[in-house]
Amino acid sequence: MSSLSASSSSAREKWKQLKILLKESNTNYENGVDFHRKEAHRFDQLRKLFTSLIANGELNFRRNGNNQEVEEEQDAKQKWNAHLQTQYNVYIDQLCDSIKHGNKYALRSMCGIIAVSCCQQHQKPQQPQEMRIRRVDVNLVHRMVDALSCVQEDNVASEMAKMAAAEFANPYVDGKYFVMKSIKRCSVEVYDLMQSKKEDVTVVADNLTTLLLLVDSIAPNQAHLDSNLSLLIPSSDSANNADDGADSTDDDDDESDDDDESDDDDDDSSTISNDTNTQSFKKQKTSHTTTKKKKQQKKKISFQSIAKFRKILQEAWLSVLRLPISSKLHKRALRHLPTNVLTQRIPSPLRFADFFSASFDIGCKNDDNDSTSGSGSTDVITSLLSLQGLFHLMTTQNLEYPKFYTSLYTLMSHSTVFHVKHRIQFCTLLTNCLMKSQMLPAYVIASFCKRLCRTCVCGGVPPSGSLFVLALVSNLLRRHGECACLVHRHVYNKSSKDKGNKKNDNDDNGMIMDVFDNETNDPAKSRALESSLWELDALEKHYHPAVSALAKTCGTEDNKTPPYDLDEFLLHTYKSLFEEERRWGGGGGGGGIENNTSKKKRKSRSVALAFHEPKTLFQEGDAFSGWLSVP
Amino acid sequence: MAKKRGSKRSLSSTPKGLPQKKARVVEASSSSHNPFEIAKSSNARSVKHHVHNRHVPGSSAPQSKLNPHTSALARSLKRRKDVLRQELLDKKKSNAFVDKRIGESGAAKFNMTQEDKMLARIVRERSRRSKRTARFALEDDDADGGGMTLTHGGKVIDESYNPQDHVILSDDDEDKYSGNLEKVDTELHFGGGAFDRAKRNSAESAYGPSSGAGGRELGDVYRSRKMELDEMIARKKMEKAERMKRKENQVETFEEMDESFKELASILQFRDKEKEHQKHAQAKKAGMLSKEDEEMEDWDREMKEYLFERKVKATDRTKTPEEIAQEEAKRLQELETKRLARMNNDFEDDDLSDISDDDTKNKRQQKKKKKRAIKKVKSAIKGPDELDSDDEDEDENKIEARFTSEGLVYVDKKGNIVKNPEDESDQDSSEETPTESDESDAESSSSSDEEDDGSSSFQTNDKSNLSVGMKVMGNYRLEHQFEGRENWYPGTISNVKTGDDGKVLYDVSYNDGDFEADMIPSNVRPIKKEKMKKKETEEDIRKKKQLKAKVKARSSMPFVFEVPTTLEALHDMIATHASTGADASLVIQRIYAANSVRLNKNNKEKMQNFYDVLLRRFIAVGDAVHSSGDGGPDLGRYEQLNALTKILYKMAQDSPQCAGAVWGRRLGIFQKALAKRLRDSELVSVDGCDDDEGQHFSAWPSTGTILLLRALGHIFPVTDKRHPVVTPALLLLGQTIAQAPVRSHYDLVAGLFCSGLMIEYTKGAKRFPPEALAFLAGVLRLFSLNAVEAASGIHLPTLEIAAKNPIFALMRRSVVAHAETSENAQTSLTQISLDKKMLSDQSMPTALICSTLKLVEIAVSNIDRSIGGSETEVMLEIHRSLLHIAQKSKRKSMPPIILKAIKNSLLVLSAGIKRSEEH
Repeated sequence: MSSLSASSSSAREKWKQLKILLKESNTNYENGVDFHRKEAHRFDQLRKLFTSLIANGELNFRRNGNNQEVEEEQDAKQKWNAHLQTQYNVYIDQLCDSIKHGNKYALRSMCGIIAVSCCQQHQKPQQPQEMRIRRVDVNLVHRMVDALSCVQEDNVASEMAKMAAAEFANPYVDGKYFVMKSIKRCSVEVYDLMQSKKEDVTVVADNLTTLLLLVDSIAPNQAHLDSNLSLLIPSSDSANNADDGADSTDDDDDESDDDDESDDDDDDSSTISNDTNTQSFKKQKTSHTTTKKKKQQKKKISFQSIAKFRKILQEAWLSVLRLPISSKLHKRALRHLPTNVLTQRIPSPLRFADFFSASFDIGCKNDDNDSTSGSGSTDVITSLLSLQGLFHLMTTQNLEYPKFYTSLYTLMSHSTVFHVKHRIQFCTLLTNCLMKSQMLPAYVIASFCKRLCRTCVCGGVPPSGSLFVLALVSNLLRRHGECACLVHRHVYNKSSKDKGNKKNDNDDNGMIMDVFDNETNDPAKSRALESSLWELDALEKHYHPAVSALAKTCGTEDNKTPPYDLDEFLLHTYKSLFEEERRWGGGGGGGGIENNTSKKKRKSRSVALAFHEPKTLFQEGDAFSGWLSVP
Repeated sequence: MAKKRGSKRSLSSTPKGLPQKKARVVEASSSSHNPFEIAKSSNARSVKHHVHNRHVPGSSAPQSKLNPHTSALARSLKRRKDVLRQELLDKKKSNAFVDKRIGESGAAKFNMTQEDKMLARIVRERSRRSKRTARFALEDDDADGGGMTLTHGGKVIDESYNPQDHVILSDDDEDKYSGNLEKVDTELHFGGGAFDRAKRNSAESAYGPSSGAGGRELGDVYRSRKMELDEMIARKKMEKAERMKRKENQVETFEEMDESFKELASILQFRDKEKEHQKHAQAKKAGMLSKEDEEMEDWDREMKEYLFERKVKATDRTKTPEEIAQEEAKRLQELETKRLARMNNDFEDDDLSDISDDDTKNKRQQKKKKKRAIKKVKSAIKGPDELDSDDEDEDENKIEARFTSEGLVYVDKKGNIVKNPEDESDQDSSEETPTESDESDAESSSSSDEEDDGSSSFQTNDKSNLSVGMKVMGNYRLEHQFEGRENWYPGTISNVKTGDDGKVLYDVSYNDGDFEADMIPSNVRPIKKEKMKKKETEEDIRKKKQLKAKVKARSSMPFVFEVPTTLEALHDMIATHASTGADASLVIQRIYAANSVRLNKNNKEKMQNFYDVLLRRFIAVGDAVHSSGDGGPDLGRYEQLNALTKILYKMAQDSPQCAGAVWGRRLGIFQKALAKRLRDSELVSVDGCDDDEGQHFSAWPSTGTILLLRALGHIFPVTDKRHPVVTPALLLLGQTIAQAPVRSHYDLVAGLFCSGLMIEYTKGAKRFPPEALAFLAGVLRLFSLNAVEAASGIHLPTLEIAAKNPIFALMRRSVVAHAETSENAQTSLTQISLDKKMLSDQSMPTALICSTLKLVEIAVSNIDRSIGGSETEVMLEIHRSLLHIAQKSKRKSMPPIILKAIKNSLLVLSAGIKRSEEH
């Protein structure tokens, strides 16, 4: 800056270079490795150029609200600055365009540019430059996010989002903050667009959600926030400077206002088109009006407050969840929310309850009409996950959700819940709901037992699932003595057989007509308490020995036997059971599931053999005769 | 006669233990008081000052003051008499006490000294205890002196005694005398005494009271006795006479009847046995026996066979498996050494016994052998090395049969696979294999004859050359033959006729009993007579035998093999030594026989390894079944699988531990492979058709694997509740069914197969596999009218994916369409085959639904057999699905045959439920 004349020649060169570099971008996009390499190179060159320009101070963004007046007395330097700025904008446009086409190098250049072009525009002009607070340019981040959200291809979009999150948002606290803010802004825009024009915005919504999912939502601790190391653009030492404190505090207040009023955001979005930032102007004004009560505190910029951070996290999610997102992402979001977002002490977690209950209805909407049939497994998972979220809210936030047990009961009729990946979550949820409360009415317990067993018998539930169900039912029966009639019903019936012959629900042979109504989804109407658990008898015939054994003992244990540890049963899979059986058979393995300790000494088991020598592979009368044509 | 024990007390006596004597003494000499018995008032108990009405302990009662001199004992006795006695009297107890102690009462009391008493007592005691007295002592002898009672038969004989009763009661054992002598005898033997006297007294005789009655009475008795005996004799005589009379009567009647029989006999007609016999023989000759006769014939024959069966001496013991294996291995070793010797032209100590058998039948073959031998000689002149070269080298088209995992492949010199193998190429190698029957030998020789002799003359044979009864060679079943391979068999022309189009047709009955009608002339050719008649000298025969043996040895497979360690090695072995599937099985069989664990324990490791190789071989063959079907009679892949199953079974029997370990490891590999495929399948798009060649990625196991699991069910008992191999296999199947997504028809077939396996495994022990049943229910639902609706009722995620797949959405429609186009589908249920060709076939959906329905029926009948009530409920979902697809709609109604099948399955289901209710 000091030697302008000396730099003018270099400026000319730079101008030329700039012109050449920017010009090339006009060529149409075509697909080719060469082209992409060239482009990447060009963007990188440009980035370096602008970086040096910004570092030199030749390009700065101090064009403020009082721009117009200044323009009168512009000198060459400012003119050059203005020119550079227009060139800069062209470059940014090109970058965004390229990002929209899914080019990673463009994104990387963009990040680089964001990193160097800190915005200082809302500083008081009279302050010396070195005292000004530097921070990430909101608009640039917004444009990046906007561009990211417009990537069409699914895979590419997620790759890009991953990159943006990994390289930009997650390492830097401020980067994260502003990305979330931008996501919120974008989703609000998109939502409006959808409402007004009925456009299909699923892709955009998906991309935004993907990005938000990837952004690490765990708020860093205060110390982390305060340290300069975690900032993309380290706010100059002044941030910690007491003299400068007032400004930062003002800024803080500013931002809070900004966040609270959604109008403000809209304003923001409207100002994207023109470069002049009215927002900052406004902030300046407001900053003057606000009192300086927080002066004595340590001064922070908005993103350095944990409360702000949490708030923006919530806002971003809420605004994104309003959008129609694809079911896959929906599920991911459902899974993400309870563990990562709701635990972050966000200001009002109950605002997510609507989302969860709506999601549950998506999963089970068919069931009101046709109770016999569930919907596809994907929807079951959606319901399951949303129930989990609801459970979290109920337990931690005192959410009232009277339909909860009915919902859970409905969900159980789909045996697919025992096959899907999230079955462990489902099982934990079941355990938590049923085992942790002593106060559940007997009819609910009975209905749950009945339906669980029924699903095991008729629904093709894997042995692991059956094991869990049996353990759970056993525990429930022991805890709720009122339900013991489910197991002991036949005894009662035999005694009353003589006089019961006339009854309709009593068969001649002492068989009981099952009055249990599996069709209804209301535990109160299922008449489970009048039924019996014949399913246990059927499960005794299960091919897996452990299931059979467990079914045999289920309901007949005395009070002294300790209840099963359900967590143990959760972990069973086909694979683990398979390994268990193989270990049981061969080698120095342990015992079975029940007796792990007793049989450790056994070296290897003798293998029993069939004694009928086979004459052919397929024999007459086996399960294949009649439908498999074998010569 | 009341018996009283002497221990009872009489009321009058004083209580036992009270010294009566003293009391009497006191009374007698009242003057001399016992000073201790008088309670004196002037004792320590006396009070200083007498206070009126004050009771002083120890002082006597007021009335006692009247007689202060009476002793305390007397007072208490008096009180006792006044109070206690009165009380006892009031209670109406009236027992008296008799003291029967020795020396305590009566005169003895005073006479006996203490010592006497003791002595007497001890004598009594001793005598009571002594055995002698105890033996005869009746229990209550001491009670009433001389009153002895007599008993008879455990009953007391007294007034109530009635000897009559007694007689009647006890006459069972004296039947012979009919009870006649009883009373008399008793009287005679036991008469007299009190009893008789009493009797006489009671029943007085006519001559007054018995005065010296004893003798007279006795005389009476004797007289009456005599009369009785006479009577008895008379009675017996009469009986005898009557018996005689009856007998005479009977004889007379018989005679009469015999006479009348002649008249009757003339009316009767008898069949002519001889004639019948002749008739039977005739009928037998004509082969027109009735069914019953035929059975009888068979029976007779069998009986005769048993009659003439060689009587075998009992051997020492049955051989152990080890010994059997040893013998088998030894036999093979011998054969192998012989073979090697023959190959080297070494015919010492070789009787050629195995060659001579077919000598007479195949003379022509020997001619050929001779030719070939000449060739050999020529080549031997060239160089000794040539001798060892293979026969194939001399053939023009040098195509080599290779047996690989793909099956039989024909490879030419350059190693290219020749697609259409000519019959001649592998004829040489196959014709002399010892396994092949003589027929095939003949067949191959005849075909080689054809080329040797130039068969063109026969081809252009005149029709007139052939007439009825001529011996010919017939090309058997030309249209059924495999790849142009010809089967010529010797036979006789039984009929000559002219076909519709003017051609002459022959009916040929083959020598082996087969018959073929309507053969065209080109397939029938006469046998040259001169060849048949050709005579050869003994020496020639021997030479030829040797030559043949040599050639045979060279071309046939060795008898002893080393154990191959890898699958590739096994395949190489099979490729070099075997050309057909049967050969391959034989090779494996021989490997097993020569290296059995039973022979040598050290073979264990080798065989364990070999077992795994065999399993992999099994899978390879199974996969080949999928890719190219059974492969004709030559390959006979199913036959190979059968043979492999047998060998796997045998080897498992030899060493169960090894088999279990190998199977377990193999299952582990399957499990891992399945897990990997499941992971991969998530990456593959839902259509599953990402390859250009239409190769579907499938998460389901290959056909070979599934077939191997079928074999598993033969080798291990599937009924065990917990089995180290079967249970993991079941789990593996369950996982496959529940998790592997169904994306193509192959997947569905594999799924059905796996379900079938689960059902098969569990059927023996009457268990139930939920996954398999759910799968069946799901598959049925795929055929429903509305795919989306159907998907909602499917419980397995694997099939949920399928329901969304367009391939399956159209299944019902294609079933309907197929039924409309093909008549076959309307009449019979289609079956599924494992062949790959099947998958693209039009009838695939139809076959699928038919198979599913069949499998459902099988499952129902399996579960149905165990009647516990709850099992039939297990089929609930299947029931629902069946009802679901049976829905009728105007547009897309199922073909009637399938509807019928559905209905049938439903009936079976509900019948099962009903039956279980009945029980």
